Amino acid sequence: MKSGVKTVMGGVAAAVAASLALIAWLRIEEARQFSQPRRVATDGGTNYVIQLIETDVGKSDSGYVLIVYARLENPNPYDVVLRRDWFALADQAKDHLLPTTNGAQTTLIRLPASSVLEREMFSFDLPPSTLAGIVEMKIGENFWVTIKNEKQFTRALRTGEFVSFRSRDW
Amino acid sequence: MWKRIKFYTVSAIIIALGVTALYYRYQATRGGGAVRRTIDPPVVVQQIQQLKQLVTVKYLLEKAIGFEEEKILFGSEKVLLLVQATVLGGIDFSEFRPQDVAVGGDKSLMIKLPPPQILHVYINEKNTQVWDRTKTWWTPWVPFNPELEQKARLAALEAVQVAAREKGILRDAQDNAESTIRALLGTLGIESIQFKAASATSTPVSPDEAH
Repeated sequence: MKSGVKTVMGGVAAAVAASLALIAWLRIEEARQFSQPRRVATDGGTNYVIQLIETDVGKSDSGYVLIVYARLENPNPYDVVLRRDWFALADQAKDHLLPTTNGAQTTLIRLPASSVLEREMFSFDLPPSTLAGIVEMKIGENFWVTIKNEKQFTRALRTGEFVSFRSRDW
Repeated sequence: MWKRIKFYTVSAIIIALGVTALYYRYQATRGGGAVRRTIDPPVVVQQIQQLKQLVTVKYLLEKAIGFEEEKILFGSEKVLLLVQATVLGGIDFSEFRPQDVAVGGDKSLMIKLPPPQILHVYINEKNTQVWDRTKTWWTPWVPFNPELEQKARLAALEAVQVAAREKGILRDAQDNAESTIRALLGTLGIESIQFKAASATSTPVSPDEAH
C-alpha cells in the first residue's frame, strides 16, 4: 500500500514537472521567435536588421499606450536613415497607427555605418479597440511582424499602469 | 588528551576565520586590492542641432506609474513610481515655409502655422521617487532587473505625454503661439492677421498614407 501511494505521488510529481518544463520550453520558444533578428531590404536598396526586444502596454485615460523596443543594426559601410513613420502599427481592423514623434523620438532614425542602436523606442497611442485582436508592426516597406496574438487583451490595467512582455502571447 | 586536541583544533579554526574576516574587511576598506580606475573621459558632443522652436506652453504633471515586467519563464517584477514631469508644447518653425505667409491688402496677413507639437518632456528628478519595488514571492531565484526603473521612467514619459495631450496642451500651444505672433507683428503695424488652421499631429492614418 505504501509503495502504491509512493508510485502515485511520484507519477503526479513527474507529471507536474513535465508540464512545467513544457510550459517553460514553450515560453522560451515564443520569446525566441518574438525576438529573432529580421533582415529588411527596402525597394530603394536600404537594408538593416531589426530585432524586437519587448513591448510595454500601459493604460491611459482614453485608451492604451504601446511602447515597442527594438534593436536596429546597420551592417552597411555607409549611414542609413530610417523614417520613424515606417514603423507603423496595424490592428485587426487594418487601422494604421503611426509612432509618436517628439522629444528623443525624432522623425528620422540615423544609423551610422556598421553600427547598432541597442534600444530604439517606438511609442503609440492606441484607441481601446486596437488591443481587441492581433497587432502587427511594420518593420520595412513590405515587412510586418506580429507583436500581439489574436486574443483580446483582457488584463485590467489601471490608468498609469504598464505591463512589459517579451513575447507575442498577451 | 582528546579534549586538548579538540580545544586546539576549534581554537585554530575560530582564529583562522577571525583572521580571514579581518583580512577581507581590511581589503574592502582599502579597495580590495583591485586596480582603481578613475572614470574621467572627455565630454563627447554627440550632436549639435539647430532648433527653430517656439515654446508657448508648459504643463507640470504628476502621475503614479506602475510598471510590471513579466519574466520569460515564470513570475514578474513590479516597480511603482511617483513621477513629476514637465511637458513643453509649441511650434516647430523648421517646418515653416515662405509660402505659408500670404500678404493681403490693407496691412493684413494670412499665416499658416505648422501644427502644434509636444516639443520636450522631461522628468523632474527632485520630485520623482520609487514608492515600491517587488517581485513574485514564489520566484525568489529571479534576480531584480536593474533596468526596470529606467524602463518605468520611459513609460512614464509616454504616459505623461498622452495625459498632456488629453488635457489640451496642443490647443493651448496653438492659441498661445497665435497670440504671441499677433502681438509681435502688431508692433510692426500689421493690423489684421488671420491664422489658417493647421491640424495637430495625429497618429491614425489611412493604410495608403502609411506606405
